[in-house]
Amino acid sequence: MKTQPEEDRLKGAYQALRAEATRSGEVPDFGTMMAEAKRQASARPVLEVVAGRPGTRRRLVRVGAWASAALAASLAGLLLIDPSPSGDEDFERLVAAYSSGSAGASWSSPTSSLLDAPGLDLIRSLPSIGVPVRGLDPSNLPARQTPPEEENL
Amino acid sequence: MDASDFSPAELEARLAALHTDSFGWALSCCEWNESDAEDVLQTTYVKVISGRARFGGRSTFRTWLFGVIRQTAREDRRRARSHVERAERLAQDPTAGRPVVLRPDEVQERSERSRTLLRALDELPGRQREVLHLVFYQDLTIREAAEVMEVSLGSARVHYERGKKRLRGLLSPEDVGGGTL
Repeated sequence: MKTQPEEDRLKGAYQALRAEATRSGEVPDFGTMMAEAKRQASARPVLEVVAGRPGTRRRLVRVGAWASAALAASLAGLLLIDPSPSGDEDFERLVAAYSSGSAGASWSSPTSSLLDAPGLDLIRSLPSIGVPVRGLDPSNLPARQTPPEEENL
Repeated sequence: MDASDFSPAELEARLAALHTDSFGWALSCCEWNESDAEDVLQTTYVKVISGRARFGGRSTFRTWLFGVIRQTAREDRRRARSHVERAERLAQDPTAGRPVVLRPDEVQERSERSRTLLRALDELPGRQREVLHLVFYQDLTIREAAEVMEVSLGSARVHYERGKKRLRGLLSPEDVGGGTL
């Protein structure tokens, strides 16, 4: 065990140093130092509270805190009930305006006339079952005549 | 116990009881410069009796006071780093700022054993020097030393062990009273 004797010797060396410091009169007089400390302390007083207005600073801090909270709440409210339309609503409104506008309705492609062909209405309409196609009704056809050569036979 | 519980007379009595130890600690904080140590202790007393430093009762009065002395010494060192002030102080007092460890009058006053110890301590980092002083010179526990130094107990233990190891390398057994160190 080496630690304890080592510590005892170190302590002995320190205590010798301490004894010498005390003996040699290094330590300044406490009374003199305290008198000087009192003089300095009275010459430089700590900040005092102004009489008759207790808690002014605290009140200011409290008012400031409430004002900040109210401002934050107002800003949050404005953000939540913002009346300005969203981007989607703007787009929908634009499409509706375009669709119903006279300019949009009357517009036609410059090459749309190329699509106008005879019988176009047949292509664009659905045929219905049982209803003969106009012009192809067999009852409307003229009666078939037997050739004269066959009668003669 | 809160500082407000102390009457001025009681506060003064407590400071008086710790005066010698306080000066020893101030010396250690000021690298054994007596002039600086006296200034630091004076400023500490002003702080305490003016209420700028208040004892909150979270530790013993002794460890709290040592903490104030340590803090004051650090502030004083920081201030002294200003070259202008340093120059002014040196102009007023040529001995100011000189390390006492190597002063000729100190060599006369102190025993060889103490001078050797002070020279060795001068080689140690500040934290190691502090914890060794608080434990061996002031008889504080390592826990109390940690409170004064404002470090954790574990950190104070590490500084303590390293400081001892370092001193072992710097001092011969005869330097600290003979035998195996």
